[in-house]
Amino acid sequence: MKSFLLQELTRLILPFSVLMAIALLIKGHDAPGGGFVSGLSLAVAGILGFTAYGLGRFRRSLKVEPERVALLGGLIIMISLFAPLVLGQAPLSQGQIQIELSLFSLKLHSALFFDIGVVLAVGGGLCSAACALWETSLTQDGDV
Amino acid sequence: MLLILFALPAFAGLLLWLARPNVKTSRRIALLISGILIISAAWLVQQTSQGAVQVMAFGGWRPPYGIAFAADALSSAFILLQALLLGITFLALRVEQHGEETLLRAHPLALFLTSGLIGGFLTGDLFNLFVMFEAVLISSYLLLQIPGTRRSLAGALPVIVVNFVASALFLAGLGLLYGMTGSVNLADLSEQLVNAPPNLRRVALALLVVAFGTKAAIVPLSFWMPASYPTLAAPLAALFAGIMTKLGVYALLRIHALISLDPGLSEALIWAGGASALVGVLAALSQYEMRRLLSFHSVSQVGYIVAALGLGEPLGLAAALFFALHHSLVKSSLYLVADELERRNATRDLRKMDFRRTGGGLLALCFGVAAFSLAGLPPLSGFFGKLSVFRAAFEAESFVLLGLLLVASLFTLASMLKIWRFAFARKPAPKKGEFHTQFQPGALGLLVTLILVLGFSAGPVYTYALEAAKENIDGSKYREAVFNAMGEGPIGKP
Repeated sequence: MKSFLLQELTRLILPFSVLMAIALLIKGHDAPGGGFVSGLSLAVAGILGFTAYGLGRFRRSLKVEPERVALLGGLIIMISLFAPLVLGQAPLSQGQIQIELSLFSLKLHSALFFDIGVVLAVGGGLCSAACALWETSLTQDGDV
Repeated sequence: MLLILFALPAFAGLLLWLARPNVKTSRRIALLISGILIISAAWLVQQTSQGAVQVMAFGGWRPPYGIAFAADALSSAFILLQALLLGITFLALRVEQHGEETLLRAHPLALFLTSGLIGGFLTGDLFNLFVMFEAVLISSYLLLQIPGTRRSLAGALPVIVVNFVASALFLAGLGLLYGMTGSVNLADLSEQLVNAPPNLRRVALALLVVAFGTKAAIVPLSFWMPASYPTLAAPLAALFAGIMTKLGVYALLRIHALISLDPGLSEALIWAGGASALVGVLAALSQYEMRRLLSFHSVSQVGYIVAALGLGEPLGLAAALFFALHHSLVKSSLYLVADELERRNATRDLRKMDFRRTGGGLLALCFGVAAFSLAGLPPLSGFFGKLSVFRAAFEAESFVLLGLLLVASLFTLASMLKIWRFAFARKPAPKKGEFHTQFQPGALGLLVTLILVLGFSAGPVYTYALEAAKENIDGSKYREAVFNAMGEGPIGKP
C-alpha cells in the first residue's frame, strides 16, 4: 500500500506524535499521562510509519528490531525494581529532584527511569506485534 | 523472597530472549530457574503453613495505599503447584520432538507466563491482580502464536476476545468497589465492604465473579477454552490445562473467603459449577479428538471446584483447593499421554489409533493412574478430591448438587474408558514383537509419581487446605499482616 497522501501526512504527523509521547512521559507523574500512554502513542507513530512506507523501509530506518526495544524496556523495568534494594530500600522506591528553569520548573523523579522502561516495553511490544501481524497477513495472502 | 519468586522468572525470560543462546543452554537455564522456583516455593509453603503471612510492600508505601504482595497458605500452595508444573513442562519439551524453534520461543514465554501467574497468586491488591491477569493473557497469547500460522491466529482469536471482555468486566467491578470504598487493597476491602450499600456491593461482586468465572472457564462462560489447545506443542498444552484456569479459581477462592459473597452469588456459583460438571463431561464424551476431549473435561472438573467453592464454609473452600491441586496434576499428565499417543499414531483421532502402535507397558500404566485418579478411584488423589467435595455438599445439605456431581463422575469414568478402549485395548490382539516398547517416562513419570504422592498424603494436604480456608474466612491474620507491612513511618508517605 503506497499512497502519496498518506506518506506526506505521515511525514507531517510523525515528529509531533513523538513529541507528544515525550510530553506525556514527562508530565505523567502528577498529571494525566505516563509511561503507558506515552508508549501507546509511540507505537501508533511506528504503525503509521510502516503502513505508509512499507515494512522494509521502516525496519531499515529504525535500525533495531521493535522486539528488542520491548525487551530493553523490560530490562529497565527490572533494574528499577531491584536498584532500591541495593540502597537498602523497598523495591520500586523513588526519590525526586526539582529543577528550576527560568520559565517553568521541572520535577524529575527516579520513577521516570521506570517509566522510560514502560514506554519502551509498551511501544516496542505493540509495534512488533503489529509488524508480525502485518507480515503474516501479507505472506499468507500472497499479495505483497 | 516474594520478590524473587515474582521477578526471577521474568528476568530470566528477558535475558533468554535477548541473548538467544543455543537450545541446549536455553534448556539448561530454563530447568535451573524452575528448580530454584520449586525450592523457594517449597520454602514458602513451609513458612506459611502455620498460618503466618509473608508481606512485602512496594516503594515504601504502606498498604492500603501502596501495593503489597502477601503470601499465605492459599497462595503458596498454588505457587508451588505452578513451579512444579513449569519444571515438568521444561523437562517434557524436547528438541527431538518439538523442534529447536519452538523450544527457543517457549522457554522465555513460559517464564513470563509463570511470572504473571505467581504475581497473581501473590498480590494482595485487586488492581494489581488485574495487571497480572493481563500479563498472563499476553504471554499465553504469544505462546499460542508460536507456530505463527494463520490457523494459530484464528485459534487464538476467541481466547483473546473472550478474555478481554472478561477483563473489561473485572475492571468495571473494580471501579465500583473503588468508588464505594476508595481502596483496591484486598485486606482493606474485606473490612470496608461490610458497611457498603448492599445493592452496589452485590453488583460489583457479581461483575468480579463473572470475570473470574470466565477465566476459570465454567459453564456458561467456558466456550473459549476448547478452542485454544489444538495448535500448542503438547507440553505447553499440559501447562495451560494444568494452571491457566486456576488463576480464576484462585481469585474466586480469595474473594469468596475474604470478602464473602452474597448468598445469591454463591448459590449461582454452586449451580454454575454443577452445570459445568455435567455439561463438560457430556461434551467430552462426544469427542473423538483426545485433546478436545480432555479440554472439555477441564470444564467439567473446574465445575466441581467452583461448586465446592460456592458451598463456602471451610469445608467447601478446602475441598476446592484440594481438588484444584489434584486436577492440575492429573490433567497435565493426561495431556502428556495424549502427546505421546498422537506422535505414535500420527493422528489425533482416537478412532484411528491402533493398539499395536500405541503399545502397552509404562505408557498404559501412566495413563491408567492418571485416568483412574481423574475418575476418582481410591486410593488415588481424585478419590479424596471428590470425597471432600461430596462431603462439603452433604454437610451443606445440597443433595441435588450431590446427585449431579455423582452422575458427572460416572460419566467421567465412562469417558476415560472410551480413551482406554480406543487407544490401548482394541482388538485384534497383537502378536509378540509388535509392541512399541521404547518409552522413557521422564516428565510424565514424575507427574504420575506426584499424583501418587498426593494420593497417599491426602490427609496432611487436606488438613493444610482446611487450615488455609479457615485462616482466609477469618481473615484477621491476613489483614493484620498486610496493614503492618512496614513497621515504621506514617501510614502512607505524604
